Amino acid sequence: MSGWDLGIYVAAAVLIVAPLGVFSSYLREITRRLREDDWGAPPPTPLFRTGRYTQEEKEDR
Amino acid sequence: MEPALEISLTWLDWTIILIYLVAMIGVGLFFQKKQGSFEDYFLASKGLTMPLLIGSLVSTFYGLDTLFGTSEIGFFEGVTGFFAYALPYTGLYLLMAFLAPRFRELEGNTFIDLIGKNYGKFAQAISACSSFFYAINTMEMMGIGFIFTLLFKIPFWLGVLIAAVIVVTYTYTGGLWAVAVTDMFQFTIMALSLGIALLICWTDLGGYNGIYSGLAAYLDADPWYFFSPSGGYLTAGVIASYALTSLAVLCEPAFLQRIFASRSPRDARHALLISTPIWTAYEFACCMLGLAAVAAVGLGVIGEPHANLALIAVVARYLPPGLIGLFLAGVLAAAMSTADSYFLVSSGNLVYDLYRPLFNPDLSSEKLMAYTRRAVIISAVISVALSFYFERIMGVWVFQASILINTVLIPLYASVFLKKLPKTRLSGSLATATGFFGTIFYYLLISTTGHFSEDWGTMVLQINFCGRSVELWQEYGIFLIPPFVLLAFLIGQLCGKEKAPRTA
Repeated sequence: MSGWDLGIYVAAAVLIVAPLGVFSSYLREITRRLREDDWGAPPPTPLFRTGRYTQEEKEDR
Repeated sequence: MEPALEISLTWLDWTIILIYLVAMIGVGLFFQKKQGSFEDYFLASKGLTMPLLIGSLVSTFYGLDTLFGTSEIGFFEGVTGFFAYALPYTGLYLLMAFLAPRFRELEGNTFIDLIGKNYGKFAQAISACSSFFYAINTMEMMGIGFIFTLLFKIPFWLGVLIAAVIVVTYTYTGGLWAVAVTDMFQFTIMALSLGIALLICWTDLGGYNGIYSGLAAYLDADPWYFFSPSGGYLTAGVIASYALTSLAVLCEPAFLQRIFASRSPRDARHALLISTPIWTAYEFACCMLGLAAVAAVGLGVIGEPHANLALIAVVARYLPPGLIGLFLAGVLAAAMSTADSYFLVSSGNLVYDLYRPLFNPDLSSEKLMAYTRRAVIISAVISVALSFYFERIMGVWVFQASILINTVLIPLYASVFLKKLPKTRLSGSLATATGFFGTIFYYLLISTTGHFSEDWGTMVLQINFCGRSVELWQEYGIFLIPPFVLLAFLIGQLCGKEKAPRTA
């Protein structure tokens, strides 16, 4: 197996695994939004740049 | 435009394609009642979280130009297509991941807003025009029309019209929420189908050794340059001028719209960091499938296709029924996800960035949303009309990228990242006008006084400069004009008296 074969397997793995992972986390979120009929957003967090987080962000983390 | 490729589909393939198309319209109709304000409609209430951002960013930025364009370069020049054209974009995506939080922290709904607040209405209007030019969807509409023609055996014009109706329906009704949710499905389908296709085609052709033999049989010579990162016939200057189009990442309207629509700066940065390897793998897959198509021709597995159909030809040969349907749905997804985003961006340019500040600053949020919806239809009509007019779509893309980069890059980044520098209205006005009109003038000059070079496939003007003969390519506008823009900006800073308020 050459380096090019390896590159192909890595690229194919990224293209197959990454969307499945992203889609599963999207499904969790969209299920919650549908259940709560929530299509708005919390206010932006201006503390981001300072490295401090809001209480809500801390809970997210 | 009639496709020179026959693909036979089974009932399973048809079912997958039709379910996909109906689902897209269904999503748009679902979101119709969820929009209460312009911010809901145009920025998804600034509530896009990381997964939605990843899906929307990846699928929007990678359309048919990547799928067919990168594979076409792979078909002719091998891995140079990836190393010379794609890797500069990867670097810019990473850079953008670190710049994006700064944009998100600013007060504004579009990057044109930021230019307007820093330099005034003239610079804002010129920037909005350049963004509108960039966001016109000619290439994607031609591509979708072509795929519909291929699938349904209908005339090209009808394919374009049907495609436009589907995309406009869910964009008009659902706004960015519908676009982001459909993008999520489109991202999943296009990445999965391309990954599976790459694995099956490469393995069935015998891996590297089998493909090398196929390339040697095709050329009847040692095909070394297909696997040389700097191989092929491209010169450093040509590669540099194409690589410079990657600067569009830094001021890409759909890109920045998603950053402004993200729930937080952290979501935007993480989404870009995760998207970067996916984009890179996507480009690599397209390039290698183009190269695999040449090997398949050499091995006698497929007939010689048109270069920009190489990817579809080799994939259609190797994928089993069901997966071909998934792949074609993925191709449609790549085109539609880009088209819907640019319809929305260009409608925002017309209403929010041009009409509102110039003619009706007190427009209510509800009216702003209603007008933006109508402008989606106007953008679609212009895109469809132009898709019947243009023959060479790559020329259109280089012009679009040039006009955007030359007009907005310098004033936008000065306003966002040089906060302490007091900026004058004159600097923004001069810089945007020089970039915008300079690009138009340069393209008109080359296309009216130059000639079409069959060797290079582009418009070229031969001039004498200091006793030497110099070739000016149409593509060179992207690095010839920015120095003048920078000069205009500096002159405006020195001579301008009226300082704009420091809002960003």
